[in-house]
Amino acid sequence: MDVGLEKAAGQLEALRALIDTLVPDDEFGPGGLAAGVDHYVIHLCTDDETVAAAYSANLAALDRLSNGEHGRPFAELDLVARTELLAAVEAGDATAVGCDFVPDPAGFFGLAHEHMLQGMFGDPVHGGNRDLIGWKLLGYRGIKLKTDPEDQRIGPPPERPVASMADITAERARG
Amino acid sequence: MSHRNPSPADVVVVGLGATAGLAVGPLAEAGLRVVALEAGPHRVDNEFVFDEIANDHRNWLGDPKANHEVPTWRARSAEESGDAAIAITMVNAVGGTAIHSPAQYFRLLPWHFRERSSIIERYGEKALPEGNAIADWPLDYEELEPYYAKVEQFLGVSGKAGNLNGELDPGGNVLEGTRSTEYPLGPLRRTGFTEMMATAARELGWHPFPGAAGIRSEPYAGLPACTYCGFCICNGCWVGAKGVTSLRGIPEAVATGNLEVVTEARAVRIDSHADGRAAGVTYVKDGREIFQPARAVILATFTFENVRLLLHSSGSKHPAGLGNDLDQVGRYPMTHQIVQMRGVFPGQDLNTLSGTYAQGTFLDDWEADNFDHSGLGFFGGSTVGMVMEIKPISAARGIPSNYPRWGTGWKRFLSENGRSLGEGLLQIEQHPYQDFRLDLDPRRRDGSGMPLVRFTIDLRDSDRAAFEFLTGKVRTWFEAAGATDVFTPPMMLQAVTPHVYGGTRMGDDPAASAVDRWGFLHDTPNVGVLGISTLPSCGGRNPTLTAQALAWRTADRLVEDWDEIAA
Repeated sequence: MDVGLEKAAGQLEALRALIDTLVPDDEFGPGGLAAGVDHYVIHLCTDDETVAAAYSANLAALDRLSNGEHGRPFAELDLVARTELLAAVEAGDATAVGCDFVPDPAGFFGLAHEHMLQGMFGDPVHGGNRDLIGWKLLGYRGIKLKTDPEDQRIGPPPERPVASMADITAERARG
Repeated sequence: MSHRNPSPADVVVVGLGATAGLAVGPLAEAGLRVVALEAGPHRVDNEFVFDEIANDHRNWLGDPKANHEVPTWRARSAEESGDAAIAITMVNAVGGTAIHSPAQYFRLLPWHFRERSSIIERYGEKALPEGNAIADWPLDYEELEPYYAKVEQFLGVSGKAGNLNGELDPGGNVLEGTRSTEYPLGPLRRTGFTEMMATAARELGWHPFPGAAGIRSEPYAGLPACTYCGFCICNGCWVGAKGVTSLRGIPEAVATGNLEVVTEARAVRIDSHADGRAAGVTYVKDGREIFQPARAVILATFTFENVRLLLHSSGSKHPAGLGNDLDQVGRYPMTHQIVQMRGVFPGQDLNTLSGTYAQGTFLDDWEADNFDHSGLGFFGGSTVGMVMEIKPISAARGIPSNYPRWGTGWKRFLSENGRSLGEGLLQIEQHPYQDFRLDLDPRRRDGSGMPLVRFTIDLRDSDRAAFEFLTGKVRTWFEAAGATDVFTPPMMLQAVTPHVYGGTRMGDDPAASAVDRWGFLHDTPNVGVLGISTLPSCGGRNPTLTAQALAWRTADRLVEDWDEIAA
């Protein structure tokens, strides 16, 4: 990978820690890193300098906050500590410990949260949702071009493989 | 060096979307030579993608224009403008924003046409707060009814009549205005969720009905039926089952030989003669500025661009812009609060991540004046619906606020309930106020150098009261059906959406409206304005069908009075 975010030394670790905190690997399935959410965000940063700048500045702020609280950068904390710290950022409390998120902690949290949702549950064509991890977590059965009545009743629908855009190309061409 | 301009047309149309796409038919069939300028390209069905990110989040269909000229917003006139909290943009293409609309195709109710006087009659002279600018229409429901029927029959709208010539049928909407015709196609397919919610509503004593859809439930007029693919809203239809004018309306007009469509042509100005009458339209295509002379102009873009082009088209006789001699362009705007609620039905596999957003159970028990508003602090309401087509990103976002929205607790919720979410929809009516305004932002311009539209609007106490009351009714509906948790998103002003009305209000008094009862500018009568910018009230329902009925009526009027209008 060769993108803007990585050029900002060490920030890839902070980003990956952020994603892993938002979507941890747990008993409910693989986490955001396995799903490639970090790749999705890196694509966004490559495509848009403003987004890259927001991540760069705010991940640096997250590390400063972590260093101030725990004496270590964010990526070196365990999940419990990262979760506590991120909850404070989400609540907007981070400013209370003298941190300087850009433009504001809740704003950055909202941005990162939205990108996490897109990277986790968007079509894999955008670099996230690898192995359809997000859709499987949700129980979403993927794209079906022609949905039958039994697919829309209440109760388990007929089994089918979970399909993304790449899987339906041939069927679509047939119309 | 100037290029030779095209030969004069009878009518030049700006924006070939849902409204003009139907208006060009009657004009071309009457033998008028029509040139239609469309800022976007032609799109074909196989361009549309099953991609929530590209469609719902990036609105790639708005890239030709709308995404690059998002209006600015401020709450009140003393403030500087900034970015609106929500910006849902339009589609630029032949066929217009109807391409990606969910195509819920409701008529307004008769009450909406006489909203101000009806409120005063029932609740007294002092019922409306000072500055409230809601108005009666210059026409009533009965006058528009034949055009509602024409549009439904022509496009192939799916639904079930609840009031056919006064005969009530509880299978349809018994609270609708009297209809002269049944829908040409039956409702979109019913699902387990829509039927469960219909049963719950009936048990509450409410009047549910299958929502009307501008989506064909059966093949019609040589066009195919819906396949319920789950990627309808914010997307074009992959088989062409939506009632989009690029498939029905425009082809018929082109076939007459009297309609020329110029795509990727961006109108920048309506030019006027020394006597004040419109002379034609200047547009930019391939970097060249071209003047299309015409005897009449039809302005048929969305609310924002209708207002912007008029204000940007000042001439010696119209120094403040076309239609604006009496300072009426940009006044009386209003918008919906579009609210997407979610109910959780634990253990139930609802299969709501499929189908189309128009495939729903709706009811009008909480719309218009169908309930007593005494002491409620607001007037009007919303049609409310329980709908299909939750998409995965949206499913993971819109969850009840008593659950965490990230981390393991959130994953647990999604894992257990991701297939058990139902969606409820409101479109809460707003009233315009005297100090709401659309004008040109003196500080912000788009890439072409034109000022952006600036929207001055805010939520009032009545909007808050309506939100609380109406979302409470949807909560009741969810709970009656067995939902254990209900998610209501926070109330937000939605200043930039495809549901912004007003700005060129229709009325008989030139000092209180911009266009006359037929849709022509009071001060420049050879310019007709199409779209929801002309509506004096908005109702709590989708705008497209009403805009199309009015458009067809304006076109008929232009043909009928051609000699006078084009003199």
